Amino acid sequence: MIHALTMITISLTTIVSTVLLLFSRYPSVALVTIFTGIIWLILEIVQNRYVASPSLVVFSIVSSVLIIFDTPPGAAAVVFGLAFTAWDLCRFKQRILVAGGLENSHLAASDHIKKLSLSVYPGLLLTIIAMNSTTVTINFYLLVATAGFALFIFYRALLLISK
Amino acid sequence: MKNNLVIPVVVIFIFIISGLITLNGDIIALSIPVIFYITVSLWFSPGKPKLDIKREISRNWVSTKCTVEVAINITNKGEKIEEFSFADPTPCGFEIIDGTNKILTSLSPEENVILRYSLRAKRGTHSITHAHICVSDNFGLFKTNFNYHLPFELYVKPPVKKYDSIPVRPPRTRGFSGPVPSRQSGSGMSFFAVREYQSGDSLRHINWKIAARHQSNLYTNVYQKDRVADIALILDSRSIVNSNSENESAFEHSVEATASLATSLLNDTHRVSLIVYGDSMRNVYPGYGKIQNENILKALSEAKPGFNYALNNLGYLPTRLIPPRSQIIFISPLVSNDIQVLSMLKMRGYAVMLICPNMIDFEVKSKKTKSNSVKDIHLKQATKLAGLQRAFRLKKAKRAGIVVIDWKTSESLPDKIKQTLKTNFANPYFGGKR
Repeated sequence: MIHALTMITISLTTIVSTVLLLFSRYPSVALVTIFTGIIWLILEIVQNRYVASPSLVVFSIVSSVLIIFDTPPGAAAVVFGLAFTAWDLCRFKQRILVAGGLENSHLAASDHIKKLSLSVYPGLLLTIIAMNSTTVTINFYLLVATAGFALFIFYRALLLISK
Repeated sequence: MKNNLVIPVVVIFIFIISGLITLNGDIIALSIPVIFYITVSLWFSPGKPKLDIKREISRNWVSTKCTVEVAINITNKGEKIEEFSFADPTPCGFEIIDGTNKILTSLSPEENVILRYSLRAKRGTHSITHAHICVSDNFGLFKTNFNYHLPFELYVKPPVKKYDSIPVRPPRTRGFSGPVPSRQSGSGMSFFAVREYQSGDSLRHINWKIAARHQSNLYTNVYQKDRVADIALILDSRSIVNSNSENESAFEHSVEATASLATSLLNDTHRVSLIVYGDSMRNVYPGYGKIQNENILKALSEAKPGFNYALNNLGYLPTRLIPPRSQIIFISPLVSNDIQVLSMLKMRGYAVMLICPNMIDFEVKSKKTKSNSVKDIHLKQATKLAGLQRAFRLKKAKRAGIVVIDWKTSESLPDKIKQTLKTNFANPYFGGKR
């Protein structure tokens, strides 16, 4: 399951970033994402442990480039979120392999994905909100109350993950 | 900074730098998920784990064919550990037959995990002192690696083949009855001589045929006393005489032969001692019975070929450990200097038997299976020369009165011993009867 999920996430990262770049000002840059994505997929199939980190760095740069190329707001964040998820799943898979395969691992992939979602996607949501927001003037007390509420939600989320 | 944190930090750095260069806040905002990710990891990073680990093994003194059951009981006595990885090292020569010696799991407080596996090991003394443990957060960013002291020792004795009784003829025997004819008259099974009847002799032992020829006297059959012997087994573990192929070592054949001989001789009630002469000198003092057999097998399980400058020459063999005029069985492929020492032992009154594994045959066979390079003419010539040299060496030993058993490791050793002794014991030169 974890292997299939990793493959799907890498493919999605490659496809989404390529499509976005094809419709941007410089479609030729899409070649970089296609090349990186294919290399990542192939080396992941042969269980290479070193490919995930360089690929994440490349896709992080691609996400920055997408913002510079004025792609739809939040699209870059989605590309980065997918790439980051794929990187984390690759590392999780590697840890299972080091432990001697799935038969030795009592860690459920679904649990890991749940914890990953709860720790990355709130951040991603904040990023998308930050990208789409314009400068607004907020009352100081309201700001403090919002920050307190956000901290409370974050604390509850952490407690939920720890269970 | 820990290695696992490098990539998330590099990504944050890329976003911040590119955001500052392009004066674009959206790029900097992309680092928020990574910061969240690191924060969550840090929050759940494990403290110092409190673990109670116990190992149970079914037995620690086994033969090569036996499997050993290992059970590792892990209990978490501290806080929850998000990711707990445990690996029991597998020393060289271990083969895990069933189960696993690794685990990756999460451990709640007071949770218990039992790891079971069965293994088989090669001959030797195997020891594990530590098990490797790694505890980390959910995402493996903040790891703590440490070794848990979990000692474990396994002695694997060499394989023992069942040999029939080995006939030995030492010049001196011991006082207890056994299988060796002692060349002294007394109670026994084999005929020794005829003497004049003395009062008290059993009527059943009177030789009536001779008595019929001498009308005035009676004659009695005298039998030979059967006694036990002192036997010293000497295993040559010097690396200069033992050769290895990729898959097997000729030394293993020598060890197996020594173990089988010791078992067979002790079964025949002889008093057996052992000297392993090589990188170090390991002695098992003379003794009888099953306990002695276990002691010898334990010493043999620890034997390994090695080099020691002080013991490079057989001249330093401690003869004081060998009872005088006893039987010495020397198991060695032999180098040229050794003949002198063996001749010296023979001259001192020991009965020396040399079991000489054929290293040339062993090496050629191992090369044959590896490739067809045996066809190589140079190798053929070298084999022939080495064979001649060896034959000359063995002939020299035979001339010195040593019983030489030229043993190809693929052949059965007891058959070879019997075949050789059959001819030698008929020869009075070796102290036998015609």
